[in-house]
Amino acid sequence: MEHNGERPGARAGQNRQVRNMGSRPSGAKTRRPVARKQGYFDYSLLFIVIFLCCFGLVMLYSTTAYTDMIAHKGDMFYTVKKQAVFMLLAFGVMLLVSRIDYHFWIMLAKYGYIISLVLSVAVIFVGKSAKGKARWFELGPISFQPAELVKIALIVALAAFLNKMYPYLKTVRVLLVTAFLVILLAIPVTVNNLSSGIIIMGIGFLMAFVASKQRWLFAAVIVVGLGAVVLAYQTGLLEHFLHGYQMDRINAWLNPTNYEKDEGYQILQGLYAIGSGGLFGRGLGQSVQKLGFLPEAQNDMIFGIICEELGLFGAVLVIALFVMMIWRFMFIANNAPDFTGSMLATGVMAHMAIQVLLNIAVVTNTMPNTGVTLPFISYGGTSLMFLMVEIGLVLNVSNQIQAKS
Amino acid sequence: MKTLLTGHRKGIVTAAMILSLMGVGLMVRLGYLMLLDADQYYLMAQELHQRERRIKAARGTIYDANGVPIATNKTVCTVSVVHSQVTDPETVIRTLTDKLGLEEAEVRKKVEKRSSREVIRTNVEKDLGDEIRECDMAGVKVDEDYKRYYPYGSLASKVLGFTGSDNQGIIGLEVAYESVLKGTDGTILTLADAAGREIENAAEERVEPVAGKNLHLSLDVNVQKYLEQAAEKLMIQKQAKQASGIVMNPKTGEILAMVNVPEFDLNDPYSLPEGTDTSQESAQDLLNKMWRNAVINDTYEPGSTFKIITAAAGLDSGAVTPESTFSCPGFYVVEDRRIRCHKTTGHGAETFVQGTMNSCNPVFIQVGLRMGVDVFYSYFERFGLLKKTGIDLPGEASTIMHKPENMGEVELATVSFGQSFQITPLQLITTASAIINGGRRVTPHFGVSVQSADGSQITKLQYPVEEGVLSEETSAKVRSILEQVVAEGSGKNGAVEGYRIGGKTATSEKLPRRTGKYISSFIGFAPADDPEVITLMTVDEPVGVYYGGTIVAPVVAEFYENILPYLGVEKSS
Repeated sequence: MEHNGERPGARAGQNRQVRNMGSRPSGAKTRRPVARKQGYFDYSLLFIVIFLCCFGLVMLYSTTAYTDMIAHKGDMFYTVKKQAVFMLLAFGVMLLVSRIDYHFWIMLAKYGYIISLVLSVAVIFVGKSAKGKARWFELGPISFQPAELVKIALIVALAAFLNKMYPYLKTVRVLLVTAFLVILLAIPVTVNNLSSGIIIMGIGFLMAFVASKQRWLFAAVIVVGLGAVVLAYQTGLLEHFLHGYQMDRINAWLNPTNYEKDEGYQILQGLYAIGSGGLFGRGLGQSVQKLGFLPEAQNDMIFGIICEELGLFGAVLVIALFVMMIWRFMFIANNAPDFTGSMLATGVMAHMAIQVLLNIAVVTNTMPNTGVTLPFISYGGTSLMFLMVEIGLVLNVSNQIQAKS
Repeated sequence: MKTLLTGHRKGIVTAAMILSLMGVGLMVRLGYLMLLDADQYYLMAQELHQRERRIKAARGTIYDANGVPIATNKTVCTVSVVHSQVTDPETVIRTLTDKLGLEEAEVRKKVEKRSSREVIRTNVEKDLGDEIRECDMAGVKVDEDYKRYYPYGSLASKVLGFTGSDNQGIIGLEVAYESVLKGTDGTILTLADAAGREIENAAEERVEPVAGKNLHLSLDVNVQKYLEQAAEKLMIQKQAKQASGIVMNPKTGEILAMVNVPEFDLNDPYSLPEGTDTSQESAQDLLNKMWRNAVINDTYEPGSTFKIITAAAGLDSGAVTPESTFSCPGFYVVEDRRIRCHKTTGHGAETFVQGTMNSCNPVFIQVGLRMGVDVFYSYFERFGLLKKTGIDLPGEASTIMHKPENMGEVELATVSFGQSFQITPLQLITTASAIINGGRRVTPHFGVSVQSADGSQITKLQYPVEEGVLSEETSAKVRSILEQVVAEGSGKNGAVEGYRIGGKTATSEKLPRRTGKYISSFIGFAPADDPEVITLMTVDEPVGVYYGGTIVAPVVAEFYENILPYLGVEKSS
């Protein structure tokens, strides 16, 4: 194996382990439980997640206390209580998932893909709609967005598929099939929810990028894609592809003050919040924009409130935490016991990173407005639940990393 | 089981690097927004968040000559409810209904209305406001505010004027001294949420108000009261439309009293008198009429009182001496006109002094004609009759006079005894003052000094004086003649026991002529040899006997009997 040739010395033990695990069916039955006991567990990732969740609750309380007090007869904790309950539940689910061997999910990947495809098509016709777009299923008190399920199903499905295609990863054909699988799932989601569509495409793109040998192709796709969008905008062709409201959002992004009353309102209010923050912010709890000025303050725009209250200092720390999280994913992906685990960690990394980047880019008006929440911090039960399941998956992958000598 | 290849690891690291770099890029973007663009957004946000609430500045007090406040501020309360803070709406409704004497349904509607702040009642007396505040009901706010208050009600209403809802002067001295009295309003800048609710405990920025300055007047409340009583009595007795009076110090121009009855209640200036017919005119026109200060806003033909001026001009120009003799057959022919004397049988042979005592028109026509248009007109101008008096009240009316090139003998003749031109009563008394005080044309005024709100600084107000419009010698002659008018002539009803009074009566027929409508007046001053006080009283459209000498002179005499001792004018031996 070329592997061995490249990694002498320190890596030898790990390589042996990998080899041993590879030959599990024949002789490792007695070793596996032992390996598990000695198994690595990425506490750094766990603590980053716990910290982000707690920080999220504090910020959520700060953001919603005043509006809740008015809307819910003086109950300042209305939103936070709901979120805390969800968080505990999601945390439990995460611990549970982290105990289940991820190969179990890989076996179910095919069904997961099919079910999520069916659901995301079905929601278009029978889902609950908001602002003219069908996004939800209502199951009693729980509302459920298939788009959230789609992301995790895609990560698992791609990990399984690419693992199966392992010998052919060099070929362009594998890439084309991967692209087909991703786009097939992205289309019904994009119909209702552009931002989720973008995230799904991004996850697929990054996972394929890591798996494939044809890296130049990806760079070419980015260059051509960006060029096409810019060209389409310049020539006015873009207007024919996008909905009217999407075009408005692009215009509002380029010049928010001209759309002060409608599309640009949220952006401007977000900028007011950010601009009011300065270096160290107004202080925790001192945001003014949360008093009903900033729409979706507890949701998509919560980062704006963080900026206003904690300043550049706090905002940079939050981004740094997410960057640290990316590096934990990278570490786990790099040291995963097998290609599947590595792909799973890569997929989750792609999902988290893209979602964070999109959210902050929108709040800072670096890109046009799409509704994306900030992971672990924004209010929202289902979204948090699926995020935690993904963390659980990655933790399980980390758990199967063999301790280094 | 497939292993991870180095190529894959490189891919993973590359992906993580790219994603992290994008994160760093966003940090840079944030730094740009929050440090370089921050001021711009902070200011825009500040503008959005702050609600400005004005703190009214206390308006300066107006004091009379004795230091008695006649226009001041009263603390009143505004009672309002904040819906979201009300915990016990029933108690609030019951208490407010009781205390404020309002309809229960009305209060209920306001208390139960979902609004940030609902005003229940404004201008609530302070005692009642305190009582409501002491009930300590959640969500009920009692705010204090200033309201202009006039302790004497209708006293000198048309002179003082009143203020509007923004504490700004509407008429009278309140307008003329607006910049002195007003002060500068303060502001409270408070944070408010998107729905406009003010945020409790948020830091407030406060700019304190600066109170207005106080104004001291020459107006004397006691003199004003006497004059008002006199004018009211005259108006009622003679069933006249209105009666007015001015009392002035002829040496300084300080006005002691100015009355136009009927007056109105300054604390309730927008209520027309009961029984007013509003079918013919709009309420606003009627209010404007009610507020009108006739002695400065309206002109009239002065009639015989103007003979003081003709006499002064005639004596000063040498056209006539007190001893000059005239003959009155009851009329005088000028060009083709036969101008009648009020005594149609004629006064016969008389000296100029006697002619003045008789208020004989033919005498004054001849004096006028002897001077000629140019000389007479130059005196008219020199005495200041062509320009406004410059009184410190708004809306003074201008003199309506012939142009000299259009004045023929007939016009000259009629002007000589006070007809065919119009001046304000104030103009008449001001000009008469200049003639009897030794030839100093003073500016009539109310304002004497301005005092800073804390009383530390007092600024005397200065008014222009024009010296030498008449020689002292002529002035003395006119005084002596006018004293004889009261002592033995047509103004004898104006005499006051123990005082030397000078004066002149007038009965002017209103335009159009022959409708039986008159303005009767009397101008009198005391002491006659060194006048300290001059009074002009007029009565508009008296019913029955209408001669000024008969109906107005005795009223002024009675008035003088009361105020001359009060003013310290010594009796002559």
